[in-house]
Formats: sequence, C-alpha cells, structure tokens
Amino acid sequence: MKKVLPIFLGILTAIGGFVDMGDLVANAAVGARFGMSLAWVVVVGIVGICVFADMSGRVAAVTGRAVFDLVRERLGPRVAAINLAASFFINVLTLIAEICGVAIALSLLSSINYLLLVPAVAVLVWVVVWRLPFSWMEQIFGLLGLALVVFAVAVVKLGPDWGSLASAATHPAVPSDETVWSYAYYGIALFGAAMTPYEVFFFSSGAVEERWTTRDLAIERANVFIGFPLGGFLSLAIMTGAYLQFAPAGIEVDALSQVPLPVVFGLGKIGLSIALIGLFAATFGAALETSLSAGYTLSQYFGWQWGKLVRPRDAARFHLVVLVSIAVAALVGISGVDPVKVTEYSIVLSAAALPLTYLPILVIANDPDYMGDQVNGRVRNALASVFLVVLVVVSISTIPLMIVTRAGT
Amino acid sequence: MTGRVLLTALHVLDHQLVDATGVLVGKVDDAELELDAAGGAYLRALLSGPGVLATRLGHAGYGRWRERMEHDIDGPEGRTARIPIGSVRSIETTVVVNLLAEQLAPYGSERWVADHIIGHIPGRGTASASDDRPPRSSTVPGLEHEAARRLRASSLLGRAVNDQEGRRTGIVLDIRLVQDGPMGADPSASLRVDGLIVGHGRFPQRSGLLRHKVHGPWMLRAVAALVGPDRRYLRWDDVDDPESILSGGPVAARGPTEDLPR
Repeated sequence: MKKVLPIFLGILTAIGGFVDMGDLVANAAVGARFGMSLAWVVVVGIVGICVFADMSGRVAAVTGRAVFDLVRERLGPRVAAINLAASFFINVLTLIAEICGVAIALSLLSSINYLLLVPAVAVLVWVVVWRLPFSWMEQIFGLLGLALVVFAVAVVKLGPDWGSLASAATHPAVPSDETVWSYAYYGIALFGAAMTPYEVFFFSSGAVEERWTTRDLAIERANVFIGFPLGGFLSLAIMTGAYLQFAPAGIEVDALSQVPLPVVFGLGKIGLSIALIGLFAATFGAALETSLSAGYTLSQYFGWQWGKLVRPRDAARFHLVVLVSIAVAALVGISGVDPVKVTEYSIVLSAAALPLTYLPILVIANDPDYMGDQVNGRVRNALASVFLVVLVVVSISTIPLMIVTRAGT
Repeated sequence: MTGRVLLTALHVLDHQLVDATGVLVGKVDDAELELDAAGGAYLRALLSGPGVLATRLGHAGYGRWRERMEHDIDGPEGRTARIPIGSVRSIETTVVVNLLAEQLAPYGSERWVADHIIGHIPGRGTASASDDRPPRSSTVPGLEHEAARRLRASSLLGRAVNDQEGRRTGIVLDIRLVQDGPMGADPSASLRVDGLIVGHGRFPQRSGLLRHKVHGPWMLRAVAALVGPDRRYLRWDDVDDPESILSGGPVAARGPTEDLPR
C-alpha cells in the first residue's frame, strides 16, 4: 500500500492508549463525578505521552531498537528484570480488561452475556496477531477507532453552555462533596491512563516493525503529534459527554455499557451503533497492543527474535508469549472478575511503574553513540526533565493514595 | 597505536547479539577476561545463555548447574554459551558475531518452542532452508571448564578496591578496554584491559551520562554527578598482584589513581 498518510501507527497506538477500556470508563466516571475539574490532567497527559512517545519513536527510527531492548542496556539486568515483571503484570491486567471490553461491546450489539463471548474474542485477538500483517492491523483498527469521533459530535448536539464548560475546565477546583485525596487519586488514574507503558512499547516496536529509519523522522513526528492529541481529544469528548449527561442527575458511571449513553441522547440509534463500532475497535486495538507488548517486552529483555516482520516460526518464543498471555487473560476474564476494577488497578499501577521505562529512553535519546546528531535538543530535554519529575512524584504518591482513598471509593 | 576504547559494562554487557545472518540471538549476558603470564588482562569471549544470565543475576548455584547441563546435553560440539572474541564481527550498539544462531546457547529454547509448539500451528510460515539445522561447526569450542586464569566481567564489576595503604576507596564501576588490533583478526591483539573505573554509584556510570560527549539533560547529569561524584581511573599496570583477583580478593592498587581518561 502506498504511504499516503502513514500515521495509522500513531492513531492506533493513541486510540488503544487513550480510549481503551480503562480510559473509556475512567473518563466517563470522572466526568460524571468531578465534572470538568480534572480535564487539565488529560491535557498534561497528552503532552507527557507526546514527549515520551516522540523520544522512543526517534530512538527506534534512528537505531532500529525498541524501548525494552534498551531498558536492559542502561538499567542492568537486575533492575530491568524488576521493570519487566511490573510492566508484564500490568500488561496482562490491561489485556484482561480489554478482552472483557471487546466482549461487552459485542454483547451490547448482540444481547449475549459478555462472559460467553470472551473465549471467542480471545481467539479473534490471537488470530489477528498471528495472521494479519502489521500495517493492515494498524489501518483497520485505527480507521474503525475514528468512529469514536461520534462522541464529540454528540457533545455538540447536546448543546452545552460552552462558556461555563470552558471556565470549569480552566478553573479546576475540588468539588465540594469530594475529598482532596479522591480528587488526587482520580487525577493519577487519568494521568496513568494517558501515559501507559504499553503505548510506548507498542509504538516503538511498531516503528521497528515498519522499518522506520532516520529518513522517516517526519512521519514519526506526524504520528506522534497528530495521533496522540487526537486520542486525547476523544477522551475529553467522552468526559464532557458524561458530565453533561450524568452529573445533573447524580449518576455514577461504573460500567462500559453506560459510556455510550450521551451519544444515544445526542444522536439516537445511528449514533449508538457508530459509537459501539468505535468502542469495539478501540478496545480490540488495545487488546492487540497489550498482547503484542507482552511479547515485545519479554523478548526484548532476553534478546529473542521478535515481531510480526519475520515468520512466526522464526520468532517462536515471541509468539508463544503472546499466545499464553491471551489465554491467561481470557481465563481470568471468564472467571468473572469486574473488568472495570481490573482496569482501574492497571492504570494506577502503570503510573507507578513508568519512571523505570521513561528514564532509560531519556538517557539514550541523549547519547551520541546511539543517536549521532539526532540527540535531544534543549527544548525536548527541558520538557522531558519536567515530566521526569512529574512521573517520579506521581509514582511515589500512587500507592499511598490508593490506600488512603481505598482505591477511590 | 591507541585503538578504539570500549567500556565493558556500558558498551558490551546486555547489548543485543545478532548472528551472521541478522537473526536476533540473545543478549551479551557476561564476558570472560583472561590473565596472561605477565599479568596483562584481555577480553577473550562473550558469554550468552540462560545459565550465564542466572549466574549474573546472583543465582550462581542454579546458573552453574544449568550451564553444565546445557553443555552436557548438547555435547562438546553443540550450542555454545561462549563466543570467542575472534568470532565477534563488530561491537556497536548491537554485537554482531560470525556464527549462526543455531550454534549458540540462547537459541536452544527458540528451536524447542519452534519444533514442539509453534511449528504445529497452521500459518506459522513455510519451512525454509534455515529450518534445516546447519552442521554444527567444530571450530566453536564448547563451554570449557573455566580455566584458573579466567574471570567473568560481572564478578570484577562491583569488586572492592583498596588503595596503597589498604584503605577501601570504592568499587569497580567499569572495565576500560582498548582495542589494539582489528576485530576478529589475531585474538591476542584484540581487547586489552587498560584499566578500571573506580568509585561509588553504579547507576551514574552505567547511565553513561557523565561522559564528556553527553550534553544533557542538565538535571539528570546533575543528579548523576551527585550520586557518583568520586570516579577515578586505576590503570591495570597499577593493580597489585592481579592473580589475587582471580581468587575473589579485592582489587589492590600499587599506584595512585588518575583522573578519568577522556
């Protein structure tokens, strides 16, 4: 296929990262509960993931090396192994949630109990990973995911008072019936949902799968600076819709089935079916991202051959890891765990684990042995340093906040 | 002639191993140093394999057992965890070797999974010539029982360093190698241990942030300089009684340490 606008890697990564199961529910829940007072966190998250993904994409294009490949070089085998264990665990948690999310989206269409659909979804995810070429996968699920734009259309249709929305978003305050702790906890959840490690594992490995080189740096930038803000925009639209729909009635959002309701009220049945296609594509895309990331991280730590760019037989261990991860996730999903709770834990833990992945990439992006004259400039480094501090602060405060707020209840 | 300089922990260990045909084989899990009769030390081989990694991660008992088992099962001409430096084609950000993946220890599990699991799933890709095992080259020595004059790089890294008066001055942070001859040619001319970087704080050294050619980010360099402020250079010629290092003793200096070479 001709590279007309080859930004589907960025779009799929961002949709899988920003509007997957975790964000769909977190954004809608936050919109209903905190209104627009946490919208600024999403914006901070967008800037953060752009900085991080841009560095990892540049490193991948210039050196042909993906993120976890480099993590071990700079952290050493021991610390990298701890990072691997944490990242892998979070990945599988997210994969459980996404597989359930796809099943729920399908059950809303078909009225079959979602638990019955989980095995079929798991098989479908695996078949796509096993057979579909990487660029097809990107384009199909990236394009379908764009159906989520229907949430933005619905918000416009609902005809909000734009002035008061904007002032609520730009003058954040803790709502009177909430504690500052739960405000902070949900802030971290939103931030963690925007900056999940698997987005970067997937994006940088995808850049290697697409064989980007230094000549593709313009494409890399387009992917990052169009894809991720687009994902962030969609997640803000979902939050706004939930605020307009649920907050006046005091309804709490705790299930995926509630997420498309603003679209129903704004745009009716056609809107709902478009939204469900979008939800399906976004959660399915995220399931692909997380299952592949499970294979990427483990293979790259041990130096195994990985990726969809070689025959499965030549990357046997990589495919075995993906297969086992999907099987385990499906089994846990069938056991009837609450996918929303699993999701919440996975995004909060993401925030805690992120510095260990972010730091080595920042270091490599500054190393002339790897990057030649493409090392980070002053602006990139200034922004990246600010976010390193933010990430460390978030990382340290996550677990205590989780305990204080009893996970936001 | 002063050749290229490599830092063992920064530039060699944990880097990606690539075989002669471009297949990703594994990581450089460790490296083997050897003392010659005159007390000089050389990098003789790169080590890679599950057993080597286990040993490196501190599970020495299991690691040694696993290394021996791999060796015994595959036989002396089987997959090797030891890549002699003469078989190394280049050391850049990845390490390329003149051998085939099939000859190397980390590829054993790949072959097993391919044959027993992935090979049975339809759509795995058609069999190609690479599926036929190449004859195992008998020029690759198997994992020999480590000779008395050999030492793993990981066991020297982190070793205590004492000054001339026997006071502890720090630990070995990195091993500086100088390449006196072309790669892959005469092995004796290849990678000579020129000296040790000594100090505290393995992270700042391992990050490579404090090298002169690295310019940013300012904040991280400041933190690294704070955690590892006292890095000095101990020339290998100034190491007293290198033999005692083989038996696990601390590194004793017989000369003063110097500023780090640029």
